[in-house]
Order: sequence, then C-alpha cells, then structure tokens
Amino acid sequence: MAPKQKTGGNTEKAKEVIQAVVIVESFDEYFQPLSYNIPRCLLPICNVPMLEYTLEFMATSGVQEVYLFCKSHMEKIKEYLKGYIKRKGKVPLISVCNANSSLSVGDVLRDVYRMAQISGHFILCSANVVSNINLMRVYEEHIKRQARDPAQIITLVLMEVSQGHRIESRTENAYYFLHPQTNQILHHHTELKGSKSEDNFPAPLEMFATVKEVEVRSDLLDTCIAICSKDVPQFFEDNFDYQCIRNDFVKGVLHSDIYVETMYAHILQDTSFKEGCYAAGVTGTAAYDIISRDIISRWVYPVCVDSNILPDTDYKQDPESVYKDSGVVLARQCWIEKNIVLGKNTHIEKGSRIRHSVLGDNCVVKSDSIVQGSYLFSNTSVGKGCSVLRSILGFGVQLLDNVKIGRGCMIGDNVILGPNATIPPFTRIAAVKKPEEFEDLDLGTASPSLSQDDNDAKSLTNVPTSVVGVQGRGFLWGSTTNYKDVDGDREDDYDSEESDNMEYFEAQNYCLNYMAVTMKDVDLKEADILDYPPSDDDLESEYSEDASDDVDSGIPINDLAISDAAKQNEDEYMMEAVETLDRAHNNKHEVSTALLELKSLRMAHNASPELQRLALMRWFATKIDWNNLNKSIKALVDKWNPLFEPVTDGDEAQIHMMWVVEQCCANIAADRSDTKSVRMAFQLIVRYLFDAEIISEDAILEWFDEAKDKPDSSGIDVTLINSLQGLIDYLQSSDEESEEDTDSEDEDSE
Amino acid sequence: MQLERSLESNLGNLVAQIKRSRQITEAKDIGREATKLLRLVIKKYKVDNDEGEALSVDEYAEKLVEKIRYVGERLFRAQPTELILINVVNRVIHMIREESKQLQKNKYQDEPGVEVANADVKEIIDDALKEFTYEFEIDDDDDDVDDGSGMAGNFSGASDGSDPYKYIHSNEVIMTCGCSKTVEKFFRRAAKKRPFSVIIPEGAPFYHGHKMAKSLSNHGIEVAVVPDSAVFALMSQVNKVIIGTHTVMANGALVAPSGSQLVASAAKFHSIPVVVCAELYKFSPIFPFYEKSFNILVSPDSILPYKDGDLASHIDVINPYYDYVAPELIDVFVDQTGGHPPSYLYRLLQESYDTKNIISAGNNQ
Repeated sequence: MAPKQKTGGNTEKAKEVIQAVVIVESFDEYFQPLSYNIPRCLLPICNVPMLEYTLEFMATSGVQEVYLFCKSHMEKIKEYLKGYIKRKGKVPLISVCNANSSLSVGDVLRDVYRMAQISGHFILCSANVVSNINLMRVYEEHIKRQARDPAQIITLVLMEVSQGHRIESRTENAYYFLHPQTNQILHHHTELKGSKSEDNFPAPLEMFATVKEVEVRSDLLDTCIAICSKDVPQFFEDNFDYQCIRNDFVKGVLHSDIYVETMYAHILQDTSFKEGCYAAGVTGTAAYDIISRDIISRWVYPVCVDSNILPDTDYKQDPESVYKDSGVVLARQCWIEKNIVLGKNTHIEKGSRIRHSVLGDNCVVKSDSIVQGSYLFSNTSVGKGCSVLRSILGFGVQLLDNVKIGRGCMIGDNVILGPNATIPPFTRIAAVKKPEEFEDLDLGTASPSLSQDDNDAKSLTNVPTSVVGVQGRGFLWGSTTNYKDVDGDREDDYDSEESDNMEYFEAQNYCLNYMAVTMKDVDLKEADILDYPPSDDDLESEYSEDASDDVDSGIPINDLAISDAAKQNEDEYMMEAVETLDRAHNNKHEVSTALLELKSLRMAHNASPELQRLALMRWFATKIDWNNLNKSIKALVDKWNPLFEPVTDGDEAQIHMMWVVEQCCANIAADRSDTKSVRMAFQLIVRYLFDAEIISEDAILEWFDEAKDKPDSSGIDVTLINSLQGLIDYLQSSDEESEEDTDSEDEDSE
Repeated sequence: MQLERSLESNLGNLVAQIKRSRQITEAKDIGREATKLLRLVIKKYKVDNDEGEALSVDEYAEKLVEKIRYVGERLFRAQPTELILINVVNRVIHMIREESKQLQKNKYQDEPGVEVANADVKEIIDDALKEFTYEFEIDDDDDDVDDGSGMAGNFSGASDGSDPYKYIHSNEVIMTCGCSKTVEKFFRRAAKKRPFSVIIPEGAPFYHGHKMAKSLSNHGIEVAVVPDSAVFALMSQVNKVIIGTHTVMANGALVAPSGSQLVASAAKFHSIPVVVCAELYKFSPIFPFYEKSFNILVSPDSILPYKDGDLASHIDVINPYYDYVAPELIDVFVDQTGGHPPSYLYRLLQESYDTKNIISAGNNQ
C-alpha cells in the first residue's frame, strides 16, 4: 500500500488540497463546570474563543479544507461557525462532522476512516491549539520526506522547552529517541512524573541495528499537532483498541514487530521573526493559564490581544502589557499592574488592584477588591472588598461583597456568591447540580430536562450557605484535587504489578493539569496511597460538609490547601518586603519612606508581625558586610533601627525577634563555612539591637532561658546561643546591680 | 453604510490580511493593497445617487469621499498603528477633491457653461489613482535601472529629484541600516556610475542587514556587514548615512526599523549627514503625540528563546520592531521629487493632504 500511496502523492502534489482534521471534543472534564453550558472550544482565551485561534492558525497556514469533529454542544459550534464564515470568508472550507459515538481520539480517527473524505496527507490537531507557526513548511517537509521514505506515516510537531519550563508537561516525562540527522522517531517512552520507574527505563537495543547514533531527548513538548499520512485512520480502524495518538498509536507502531512504518518528529526551531515557533494545546486549566500569559506577553506574535482577532474588538496595548478595549473605565485610584487584558466596557472602581489577569467584556470590579492571576469571563461582577486569586470565573458570575476566592477555583456561569463568603482553594461551583455519574452523560450534552429541573429547584442548594454566602446560589461540584474524576478505563501500558501504584500516580497527576495546583496539593501521604481509591462515601461526606468540619475525614485537602495559599501569600510578602528594603537601601531612601512602604505592603498582604520581623531580618542579613562585621552591623542598626520599632513592641514581640535573629544566623551558618564569623555577627546584632533599645535586656534574658531549655532536636543552633553567654553574663550582672538598689526578688537562673 | 457585496468581501479579505499582520508588513505592500481596494471602491461607485437623480460634481465628490472615509475607518480599525493606511486614505480623499475641482476649473476655461459629467470626474480620479499606484512599484528587474525612461514617480525611474548622484560621490563610504527596497534601488542606480562602499550593521535580532548586504553584493556593490555594537566606532569613517524608513511622521520623525535610532544618533554625534529615502506615500500627516503608539512589539523569541523557560516565565521581554527617530537627527529627506529638509515637510504635506481634515484611527495619538 505504501508504494502506491507514494506515486499517487507525488503526481497529485501540485493540485493536492490541503486538509486538516480538527478534533473539537476534548474527552476530558478539565474545564467542567465552565464547559457545561458552552463547548470547551468556545471558552475564551484572552477574550477570544479557543476555536478561533485554531481556525485562524489553519487559515494563515494555508489549509484549504477543515473537518471539525464535534460531539458535545454541536449546535452551538455550528452557530459559531456561521458567524465565523460570515466574517472571515469561506477559505478554508469548514465542515462539521458528528462524532457523537466517539469516546476517544481513536474513535474519531475511525470516523475519519469511514467518512472517506481524506484524500492524502492531512493535518491532525485538536481544537485547542494556539500557535504562530507556519504549518505549511512542516507539511511540505513531510511531503518531501515521503519521497525519500515511503514508509513514513506520521510527523509529530514538537516544541523544544527546557527543563522546568512553565509550559512543560506536568504529568509525564516523555522521552523521544531520535535519529540525529533525520529526526526519525526510533523509540518513544513516557512515564508519569513522580512514579517509581522514573529513575530508569528500558530502551530497545534493536534500534541500533539500523542506526549508529541515537539522540534521546526529554525536552520536547507535544503540541497536539501532527501531519498524518492517509493510512493513519486505517491503522486506527485495524486496531480498534487504539485510543490516543501518542500513547497507543505511536508506541503501538514503534513497538510492533509487524509494522515497518516510520515516524518523524518536527522540532520547531526559532527562525526569522516572521515565522514563529510557538505551538501549544490547551490540555487543562494549567495550560490555559500558561498559554494566556504567553499570549499576553507576546510570545505568540502575531497572535496577540491587540491583533484583534475578533472583528468587534479594539484592543490597544499600553506599556507593561496592559491591553484595553474601548469603553474601559478605570477609577482614578486603582492599580492596573502589568499583564492585563480588560474587555469592552469594563469598570474598575477605586482602590482595586488587578494584576496578571484577563477580564472579559462588561466586567465590573467594585472598590477595594483584588483580582490576581485570574480569568474572568464576560459580564462578571466582583463586589466590594473581594479577592480573587488564580481562579477562573465563568460568564455572568456575581461576587457580592467580601467574597474571598482561594486559588485554583472554577466558578461556573451565573453563580452568585456572597456576601462574606470564603471559598476554599480548588473548589468547583456551578449554577446547576452536578449530574450524577457525570461521565455517562456524554460530558457537556447533559440532558436539558435535568438542568431544567435544577433551575426549578434552585433554592435547594446542596451547599451550606457558609460556603456560597447568604445570598449565594450555586452547587458544589467538588474540588479539582479530587481523584474521583480520573478516567479509570484508560489503557494501561505499564507492568501489571505496578498498576495499582500507577493508577494512583495517574490520578495524582491528572489533578496537576488544573490551574494553580502544585505537587504539594496532591501529594498524599504513604497511608493515603494504601487507602486509594477513597470510597465514594468518603468523598461525598468530605464535600458535603463545610470545609472546616472535615478534619476527621482523613484527607484534609482543603485545610492543607488553605495553609498553602497562605504560605504563598507569605512567600510573596517576604519577597516583596525584602525587595522594598533593598530598594530603599540601594537608593538611599529616607527611613520614613521605607517605613511607609513596608506598612502599605503589610496591609496589602495582611502580614503578621512575626512575618514582618522575619522579612526584616532576612533582608538585614543580606546587607551585612562579612569582612567588616562590626562596622557594617553598627551602621545598619544605626540607620535602620526605626524599621524595627513598630514590630518590637512588647516583651513577647522582642523575644520573637530574638528567635528570628537566631534563626537567620543559623540559616546563614548552614550556608557559610566560617561559623565563627556568623557567631560573631549574631553577637553583634543582638548587642546593637540592645544598644538601640530595640530589644530590652529582659527580653534577651527571657529568650536565653527559653532557648537553653529547648531540646537539641528542635532545630536551633546551640553554638549560636552559647556564643551569647558573654553578653548574657554582662546583662545579668548589670541587672543585679540595678536590682540591688531596689528591693528585688531572687533570681533562679543564677 | 452599505458596501456592494464584492467590495465587502474584498475589504474583509484585506482587513483579515492586515490583522494577520505577518502576511503584509512592508509599507509598500500595505499601501498598494489599500490603494487597489480604494480604486475598486471608486470604480464601483455609481455616477448617480440611489434614486437615480443626477448629482452635481461637488456632491458627487463628497459622496465618494464619504464612502472612502467609511472604508478607511474600517481599515484603520484593523491595524490602528499602521500609518501607511492613514496616509493612503487621506491622500486618496485629497485627490478626489482636488481632481474634481481642477476638472471643473479646466472645463470652465475651455467651454464655459457646459457642466462636467460625473463620469468624467470618475475617470480622471481613476487616472490619478493609477498614477499613485506607481509609487508602490519598485521593480526588481535590472533592465530598467539604467534607462531613465521607466515609470516616473517612483524611485526606480531616474527622475531628477531622486538622482542618487547628487548624494553619493565617488569612493564614499556610506552607512545604511535595515533592508529597504528603496535604499537598495538608490544604491544600485548610483553604483552604475560610481564606485562606493556600504557599511551595514546586521540589525539584530531581525538581521535585516544580512539580507540587504546579500542583495547589494549580488549587484556588485562593496559591502561590509558589522555588528550593531560597532556602529558608533565606525561612524567616524563614514561619509554619509543613507537609510530607509517605514513612515515619516508630520514632524519629520521616522518610524524606522529598529537600529535606525542607533545609527542616526551616532551620525549626529559625528556630524555625519543623515539622508532618508522615502517615497511620498510614506509621509504621514499624523503628529506623534505618543511616540510609542506606532511601534509594533513582536515576539520576544528572537531575543530570548521561549524554550529557555525558566527565565522567560519570570521576566518581561520587549522586542520592538521599529525605532522612533527624532527629527533633529535627520538632515534631508529624499523622495521622488527631490530632497527636502525636515522643516519643509509641512509644505509637502499640504500638497498631498487636506491637512485640516485628516481622518485617522481615532485616539491613537
């Protein structure tokens, strides 16, 4: 079949129609409940529907025929396409195909086979691709290669990303074994991140039979784009168990003894600026977050906000990557920090602070609210004093006053929250009840009658009002760190002995594709792994109860997450405080100015005094000149002692201050080799702080007693404490002297 | 306002092309496409009004202007930072008014009392536009370089004004920057008679300089490519700086490929004359009240590759495609009619535009 294909392809190449198969259905639920009412591909990224990006990408690349395979919400997609064709013309020709019976990408390709519309090589991609590459070049290379290697069956388009890149796959490590000259894929291996097999994995030696050198690359990201030969759908038809391209098809063909077909990788290179090299698929909300940020910071140029891909927008770019459409109203006193998109007629009222966020059309942010790292779809309103952290808010969501939304939340369309509600991180809330056994409802195509019923019974929320607020309206859909959602029936390629464990990792990693979820949030303890999977009852009880009540339920995810959010806030405060002080120091600001800045920072982050002390000390430690200890510390304390005053009011605070000083020095001692000078510094700091009357002698003495009584294991540096003995002795003697005059009680420390 | 169906689709295509800006970025391409479209609008426009009543010539011209203005505003919206569109639309509007007036005047002198037919107006405007489109044509053919008989009105024809021999003398060392077709043509014509050498900074990160050097050396011109950092050091060796530009603002400032500012300021320091080659359509009636607003920020990838993620996700990288070159750094503009000092631009603009009624992209100033 291959030779025939080749001759056909060659002669017809000139007039060949370039076709693309776009898989619109995602076959997962990452965007639920946001994608409950509208298909996922029409959710906006930077206020433009995802599908628009993909279609634009096809159009600019010169694709002539596009086949969209849709499943859920087909009517809405068709309606949208009508509008698209009206404004962009009929090139490329778009046809919508029904893939209602499909359960996986493999099923779609079997549909493609049966449709028999594909005449030659075609482009296969999903409807969530955002890219600025010139696909035509990739396609031409594929065709050229076909002449050399008639057995070529697929070219995967891969993007180079360094390790630890924000867009890197969070769930798995993918290894490509490539022919160094031709980029032929000789072997492909994937494994879940954090799994035990991560350290080593087998590679077939057979590949060395044909090549002398093999390049193993782990820095390649799948872009969800591939150029397929005509035979690919046939393969799927023949192997009815193939479900996805990479894990089933690529591995299946490569590992098989029967198939001789070859595969190639096209690695996107940075060329001239006119041809970008960015391509990525929105595979989950985490990717959604990252791709939005990439669009805002113009990595995908010319696909950017001020290209105004939609006809009725007029985005203009201000400095610092702030994009504003027409009719945006900003109060005189509001903070619009960098990397922001503001849709048409959006109002920001006074005292509000927006950063790293996308706001849709007609959004309102009332006074003194904070929106950070979040995505607000159109017609959303945020009440007074709210805070929204790294979350996605659907169309028409209303936050009443004083609603705090923790990170990673997904709030579905038309939900009302508040007033005075606090939503724990990673919560999913929708205006309708979560359909039971959601998977069986064909994802978004939930039967309309069901949602109708819910509308009638809207008052009966199954969420305690303490979560959604007194006037709130919404149903809890569980948390994104909930393992229950994991697709259980996924084909398991791994060793059967490890499969239990694998399943766990799969579950854990599944959650990592959600926005703002970090490894910490899903990392369960050893005991929990044994219990996995948690029974449904457990989960039910966990989510039907108030967040504060679930301490007994075994998995205090919400608690953990809250503390984690707080920690993030702390880290942020710490960093900013140190930066502020640095700036003040380097630019020789007045102490009073620095004091004011610190104060406003403290307000913004609601930082505890403990934290302030820590930040202050941490900065202090960086400024010490280790070659000239005495002088530098004295100078620092002399100049900056007013900074310490507000945070060292009272004995308790001063004792804590001592702990902080000790801790800082211990940290430094851990880094530096000469512990002697650290001890010296510690003594000097305490002395000068004492001299400057920041720490009273009572506090020092009390702290010393406390410290001496602490066990060694508590992580304190005993040598440091002992080094203070001299000062303590001095203080005690002076203490005695002063106390001799006034009739004093006896000291037990002597 | 309603447009005819075919026009609507033409306009839609052009708007889409402009928005997908990588398909058209060069000034002359945008200008040519926009002029083509406007010509089509005029061609399609009926001589009578909708009810079939005859219009006077002035009314007719004004109606036509209205239509052009409507099309123009939609074009501006597609790419508000693109000044060439503003230039072309305003120029065409000016042409319509001037030509119709001129025609009436001439007719009155020749045969007083006879009304001018609207069809004649249409024809004469079309002729004017046709001539205007020549401005955008720079032939790559070698043949027409030496004979002066080619098309008048652009740089490839050797009209007196843009005669390169006035500016380039034997054995001079010229520095240029970017990859301007206009400048290339200018050099090639000069090279027919005079030997000279050209220094080209490579123009990172876009490396237009490489392209320019290649095409110049293909035509036998002595070329040296130098790193951008060497511009200042080499400037003392240079006799003249000749650069191209994307547009010229009304105050005489340039929106030119990035790197131009560097070259122009170095030249200023060494008191080297800076000559800017620009066709008339590049002269814009818009003043730069906010100089950054006409720049294009392209993908930072060429400065900091995206794959180097750790850094890329923590810092903001800005990669402007153009430089704003202040008017005081420029000594003379050369267009197809001759050389002008920057201070003379206002006069030039008055000839090409109805400077009191400039339509522009709204609030981009």
